[in-house]
Amino acid sequence: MEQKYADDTFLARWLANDLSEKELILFKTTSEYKEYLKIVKAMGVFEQPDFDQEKVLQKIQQKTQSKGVVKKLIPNWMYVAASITILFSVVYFTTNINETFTTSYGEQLQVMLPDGSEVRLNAKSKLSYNKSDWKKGFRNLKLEGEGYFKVKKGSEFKVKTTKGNISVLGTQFNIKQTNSYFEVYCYEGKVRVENEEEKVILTKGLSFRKIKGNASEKSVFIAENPSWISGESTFNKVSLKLVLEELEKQYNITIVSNNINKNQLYTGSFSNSNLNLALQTISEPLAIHFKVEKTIVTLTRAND
Amino acid sequence: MPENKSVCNPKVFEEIYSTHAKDVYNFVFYKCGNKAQAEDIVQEAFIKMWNNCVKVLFKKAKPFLFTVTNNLFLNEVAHKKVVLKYNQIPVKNSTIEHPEFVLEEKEFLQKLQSAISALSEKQRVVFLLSRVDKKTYKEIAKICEISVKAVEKRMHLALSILRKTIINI
Repeated sequence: MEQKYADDTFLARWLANDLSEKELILFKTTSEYKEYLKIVKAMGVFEQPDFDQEKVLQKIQQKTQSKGVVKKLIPNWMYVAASITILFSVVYFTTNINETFTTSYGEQLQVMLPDGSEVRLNAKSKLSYNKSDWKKGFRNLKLEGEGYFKVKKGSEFKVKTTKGNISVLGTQFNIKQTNSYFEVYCYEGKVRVENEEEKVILTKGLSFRKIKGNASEKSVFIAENPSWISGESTFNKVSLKLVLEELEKQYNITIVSNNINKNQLYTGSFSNSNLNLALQTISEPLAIHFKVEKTIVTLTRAND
Repeated sequence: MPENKSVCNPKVFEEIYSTHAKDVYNFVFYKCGNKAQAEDIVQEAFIKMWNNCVKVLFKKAKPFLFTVTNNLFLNEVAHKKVVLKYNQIPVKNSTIEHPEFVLEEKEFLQKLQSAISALSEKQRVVFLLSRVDKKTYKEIAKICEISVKAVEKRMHLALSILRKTIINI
């Protein structure tokens, strides 16, 4: 039966009175013709749905009104003037002034660099770069504190710190630097670390550490990300002094200690979100008592 | 009528609204079959046009509205099963008819209604725009952003499916 229709638009053409006479006569002889006709006639009973045009318009106008008023109050030239001012200031700032990112106590910050590389800053850190340098293709950065870098492939990427420079081509690495401590972890690719005394090349899974007064060490690690990204600070044979410094940075607290050997080495990690838990994990293995009063934490030896 | 009117002008906006609101509304209603929802979508579509009035050319207002409406519909209600309820004109019978015939007629309309609801959304919209809104295939093609040929195919398919469904009910 269906084969009688010359093509898949036959019925559509019939409805539009677009059939040839011959086709129409043939169609009328089929048994389906009456059924189709019945459907089409019945369709005449259907009406368009009601639509309260006015009511909906009022609703739309209510919702768009605020915008309409604003437009009338501010003349167009104001926009032009404002945009020129903004444009100038943007040009000025982007070409002449360093872009700087800082984090405060306990903060972390994800920074996207102009080439698409990403940096994650840990607490109490500062990252800056000169935009015009970057436009010329020099990827230079200055870092104070700790940052985790994911570098897009491209020209040489340099991070300067007061403790040494790190340069790479495209990789992931973590730098931590404080007054007496300097550490670089390479998570992917190759990193070159340079300080006054030496040049070291790190490959994936290698770390470099230099603590003031000690010889530098290279060691192997397994982690895929620095632990602080997931909210923990981890230490491997680090003097207690540095661990407490980090704790102060993460929680914005002052630590007062009595009779404690701050040069003893600590290996372990502490949570960056729960102070009590963090203090417990540090103090228990070292047999230390702690007391928290607002932002002051007092540490004493347990057997005193 | 100058072609370069700004849609941001409230008067122009109202003009566009009064020309197209009903068509847009019917279009969504045939898709979702729910009056409140259709009203909401129309409202949202026009608000969207207002918010983007700088970017929308006066000439392009209509296709903009239909595209936005379609997207809003897809975002919101595409997955719900459609139950359509149409306004029906009471059939005026000047002749006295046999009660059985009247009943049959009523039954047939109910069957037809459920058969239409069971059509795919694409077929239903085309079919109703043509049969209820009396749009030409060319107009429907523009609204649905498809070719006239595709409209004819959907139309053909819709009608033949309707016939088969009604027989089977």
